[in-house]
Amino acid sequence: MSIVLIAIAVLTALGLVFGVLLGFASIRFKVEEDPIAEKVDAILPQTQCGQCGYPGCKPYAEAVANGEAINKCAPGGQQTIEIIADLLGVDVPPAQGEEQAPVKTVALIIEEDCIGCTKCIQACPVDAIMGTTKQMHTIISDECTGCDLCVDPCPVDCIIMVPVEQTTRTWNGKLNTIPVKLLES
Amino acid sequence: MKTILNLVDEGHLWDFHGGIHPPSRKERTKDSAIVPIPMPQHLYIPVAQHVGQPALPIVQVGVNTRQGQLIARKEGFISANVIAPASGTVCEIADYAACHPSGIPTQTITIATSTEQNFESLEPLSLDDDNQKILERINTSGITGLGGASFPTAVKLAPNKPIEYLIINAAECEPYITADDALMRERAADIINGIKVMQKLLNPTRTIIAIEDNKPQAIAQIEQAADDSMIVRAIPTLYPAGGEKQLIEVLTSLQVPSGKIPADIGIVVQNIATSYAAGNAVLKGQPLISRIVTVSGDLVERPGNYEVPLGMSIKDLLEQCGFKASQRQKIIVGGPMMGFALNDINAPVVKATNCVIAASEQELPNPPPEQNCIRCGDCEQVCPAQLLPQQLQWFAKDQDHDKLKQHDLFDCIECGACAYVCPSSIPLVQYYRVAKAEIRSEEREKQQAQRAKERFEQRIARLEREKTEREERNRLAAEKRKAAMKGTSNGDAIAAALARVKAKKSQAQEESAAPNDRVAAAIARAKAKKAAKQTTTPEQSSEDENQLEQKSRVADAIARAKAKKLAAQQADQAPQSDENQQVAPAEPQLSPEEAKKARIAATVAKAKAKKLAAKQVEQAPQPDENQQVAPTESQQSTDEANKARIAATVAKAKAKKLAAQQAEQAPPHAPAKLEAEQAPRTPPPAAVESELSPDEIKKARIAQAVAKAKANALAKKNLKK
Repeated sequence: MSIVLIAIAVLTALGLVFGVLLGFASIRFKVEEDPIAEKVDAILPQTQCGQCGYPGCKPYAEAVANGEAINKCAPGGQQTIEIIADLLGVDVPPAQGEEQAPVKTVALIIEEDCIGCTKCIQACPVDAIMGTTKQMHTIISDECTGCDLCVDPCPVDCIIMVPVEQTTRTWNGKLNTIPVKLLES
Repeated sequence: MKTILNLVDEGHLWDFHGGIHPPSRKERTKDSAIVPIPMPQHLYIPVAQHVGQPALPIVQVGVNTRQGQLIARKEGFISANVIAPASGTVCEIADYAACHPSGIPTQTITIATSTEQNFESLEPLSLDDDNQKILERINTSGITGLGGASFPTAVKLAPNKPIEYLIINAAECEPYITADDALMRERAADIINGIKVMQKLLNPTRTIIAIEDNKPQAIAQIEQAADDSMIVRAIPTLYPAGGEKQLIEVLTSLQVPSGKIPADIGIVVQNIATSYAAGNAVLKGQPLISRIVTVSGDLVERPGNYEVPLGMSIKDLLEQCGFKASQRQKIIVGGPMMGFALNDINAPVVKATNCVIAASEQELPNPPPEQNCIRCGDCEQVCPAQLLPQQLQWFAKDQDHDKLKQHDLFDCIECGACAYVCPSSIPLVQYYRVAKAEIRSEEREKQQAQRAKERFEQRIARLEREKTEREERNRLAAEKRKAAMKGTSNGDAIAAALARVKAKKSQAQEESAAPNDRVAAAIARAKAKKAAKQTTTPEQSSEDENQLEQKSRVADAIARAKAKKLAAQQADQAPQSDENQQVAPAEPQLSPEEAKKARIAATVAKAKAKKLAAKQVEQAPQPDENQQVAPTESQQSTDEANKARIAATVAKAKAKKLAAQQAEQAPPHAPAKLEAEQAPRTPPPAAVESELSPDEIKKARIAQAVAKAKANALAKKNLKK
């Protein structure tokens, strides 16, 4: 009888000891892991365009972390979707919208037409437009993310999106590539 | 045990991994003297001829330049000035074909040269001058590495670590090129002076001039000119011994760690043409405006080494050398191993252009089509950077950027040895270049994304801050206003003013109403009540209609009575106006009976008003204000009192007007009376106004206005009659 009691006592004691140890360890050595939203945010292209329906990349990242569909980022394209899918361990859904890789663009103000209304300045999520009331505005193209949020507010339609051109510094290394395009029928 | 330094002093040389022996093809030009090229009509000077930030043009179109004048200033730390290579006029600053494999146009300053060249030389410095001053001179003279990479020299000559070895690279290992060879043969003294300048700036333990052993004349010349502080070393001919890291290994056995630069291990390597240019800039005051270019290939009649002004178009240069165009020709800038085929023959000679080859297809045939990798491993054997070209090729084709980085793609010097030996003629270097560009652009995008994120967050923070600031400002302003008001009138000034106005108004009304128009006031009150009743008890409408008729009659009578009374009063008092006087005789006809009636009506109305007020207080039908006010007011709620007063004034005014009108038409007609009935009938809606919804108020006002208009029209009609 005493053997049984001793066994129970020992096992209980051991259980308590290890329980305390584990409890301590779980607090003391807690891994401060990057929240998933931060990781997703780091993958997103940060154009802040709002095409996903959220006001900026971070809100969308948070939404993705909370179960929102991962294929809403138009500027990121299929590549971004794949990386996020990989991160979250989910299947890769098809991209919304066009399937081609998105062409990187920047906004361009046709300066003769600008009336200086400052509406685009208020719309720009990254403060990449310079100008003031009744003065011509211009885009700081290095800072422009190509989100085209400034295009709609313009009352005189003087903002256009132009594709980013390669320079000798951003050359993709491809020699004499012949641009292959599908002719529109 | 001997140190590396001892071994270096003893003349020991080491090997680097791999390397190849391509045909040198230097025979055509290796003995030719340096020939100056006459100034062309136009020079095309790109602002980006160097590694780093492009320079910023500081001249405008149309200005005259002098040879040696600064035309584009360096921007940022890693950048270089651009100097006008000729006197003339700036005729264009625009995008122009670049001396770059991509053929993408870059910003270029075009100078139309004049026939006369005035050289603007700087004040020559001496070796005794301050290091800073010498560095500044190298900086302003726009000197960059002339070996091919075009890295700004001043940056390289100001390392933040002590320098043990200064290595002057005169290996010139690439086939065809003999520009450095010619320079050494002819201008050894100037080169040595330039090396002395560099020695002074860097203060190295050893200075080694490395020349490949296929240039015996150059070696002899340099040995003759060099002083004891310099070691002239003939190194075995092996491509790419002239690569910076390979040369370091050959001369010192040291290897530059991956991702580091030679300065990190105490070594600076400078091209021999760079030291020549630096010497000229410092000791002769000549900025970098020309360079030696080897022009070779079987399509030029006069191959040789030419001193070419920077910015001369390659087309002009080739024409000067007797270029015969042929089909499928190749114009190659740089050597055949590391150079590139030109897209546009109009591209200019830039600081890094050491060789132009115009070759036919016989001399430089196109490579056969690419075949599959057979995993022979030859490429690995020749790679001077000890990479695994074959593996890199697979990863590059897969676009596996992580793996490429793991396999040190960025240590590849793009020498082309792997592609040279590849039996499947795979253009390996091309794959690496594309992969490098992709990785770079990926990293650039990441940086841009990071920046966009920061800017977005900053913007959000700014908007938030502005909002709170605005609120704070508004709050402070409001407080200030309040404080100011307190100072003037011990309380809420607006409320006080309102109260004052009200008080005045009511006083005035009472004053005016008290003596002669109490009746009208009563009528108005009655009307107000009636309207109130109508709104509160709509079911009684049928009864009310009868009442209404009666009341209208009553009101009519009252109005008449009032007019009479007025007339009477006026008759008593001194006559005031003609009109009133005229009224007086007209009205008395309207009998004392009516006056009585009117009085009765007035009392009835008053009673009714009281009753209604009591009712409303009991029912407490409307807002809190009324409830609170009602008990304190003895007669009516203040609102109603006010309304009644307003109505009274309105009614009074109407009555007066009517009276005046009637007075004008001597005998009062029945229709006129009817109108008179209508006129006073209109005020009631106004009286109930504030109890009604805004819509109703509006309607009431409109109705009032319509009634008024009608009354006027009728009055006019009557007048005509």
